[in-house]
Amino acid sequence: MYTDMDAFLADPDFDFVYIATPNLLHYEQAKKALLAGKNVLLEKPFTTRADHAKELIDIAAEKDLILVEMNPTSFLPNFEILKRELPKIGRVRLVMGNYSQFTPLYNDLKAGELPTYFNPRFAGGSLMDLNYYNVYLNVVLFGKPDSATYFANMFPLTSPKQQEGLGDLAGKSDIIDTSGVLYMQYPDFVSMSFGAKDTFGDNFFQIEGENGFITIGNGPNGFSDIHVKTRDTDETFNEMTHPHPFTNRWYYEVKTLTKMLLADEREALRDRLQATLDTVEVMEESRKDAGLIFDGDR
Amino acid sequence: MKEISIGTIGSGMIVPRILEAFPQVEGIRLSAVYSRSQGKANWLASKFADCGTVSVDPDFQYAWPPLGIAPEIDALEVTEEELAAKGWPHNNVHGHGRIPCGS
Repeated sequence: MYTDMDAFLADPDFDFVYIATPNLLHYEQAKKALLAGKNVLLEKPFTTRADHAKELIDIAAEKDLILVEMNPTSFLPNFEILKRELPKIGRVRLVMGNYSQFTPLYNDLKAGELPTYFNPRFAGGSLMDLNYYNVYLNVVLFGKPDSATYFANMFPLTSPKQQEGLGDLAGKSDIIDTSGVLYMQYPDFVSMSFGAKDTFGDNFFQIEGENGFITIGNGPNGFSDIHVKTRDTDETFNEMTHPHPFTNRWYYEVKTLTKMLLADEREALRDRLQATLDTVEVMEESRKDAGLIFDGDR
Repeated sequence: MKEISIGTIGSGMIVPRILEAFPQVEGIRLSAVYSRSQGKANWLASKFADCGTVSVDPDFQYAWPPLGIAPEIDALEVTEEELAAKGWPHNNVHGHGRIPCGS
């Protein structure tokens, strides 16, 4: 147990560092851990800036260390089913995803407080937290979109406490997104991603093709089942039968990742970082276009 | 590699979710925890670093109050009735009966 970071990183008893801190600290802490010779498992959102993501990936490659984005999606058995079934629905034309998760912190925000979750100083907001899952799922399935535009419900951070909480960002970035819609244009289809921390909603992710559609149960961070309906078939698949369904996605994430690490599947893990980098680029470009500026932005 | 040994940085709600999976997966273990807060580091270490001391009570759930609501704590062990009394929406309650190590 450590409260000193340098002493912690000097401990030879572990080879991997799992980092799950406020979003804006990810880059700095991951870089420090990599430079200390540790393999890094970095919680989503990977970084707030694409150049930071690229730098971490380069450091890991240079030092022959493993770097992984901890985002359950692509580690889940039901994600493999999704990939397997996707061709059945034919040419994809529409993708839509919703991840709404009301937080009581929104009430604090309305009362003039500035919780970390909504503070641009810590890269907070709905896009970075919830819509990240939608974006990542789009990117890991279909690659980076040609363009992405974010339309958000922006909350003005104008109370004295909020201005104080913004620190150096006060007067530069006095807004945060509490919910919003990300429109992504692909060469052959369009995708809409909804994310909200200020509403209640039914989470879903649906891919519609010319021959049918696929619905992911409980949305991009749920994957409770995969429903595939085509002109000729109607099937539901679920290989995530762990007895604790609410938290089983983390179990499968750890299980799959551990299996890959023990088998030293470095190349496969490295390949995943392209989707991570593309996701960070989409997030950075779209939020900046929408006027969302974080501490440390270029 | 025969075993993955992990040190963790951070103590937010996601960390216990991940750590709860460790005892259920062969080949991964928690070796060290870091937190700027001694109290939070203590809490994580006592809950997850030594599986043999974990208590199991299926009547209790771990609930993770959103950051800022209860800044002095990261987690509460409460009954479902207590959760309801707090008025937290279901989708902000991340928890279940604790899984014993080795199960």
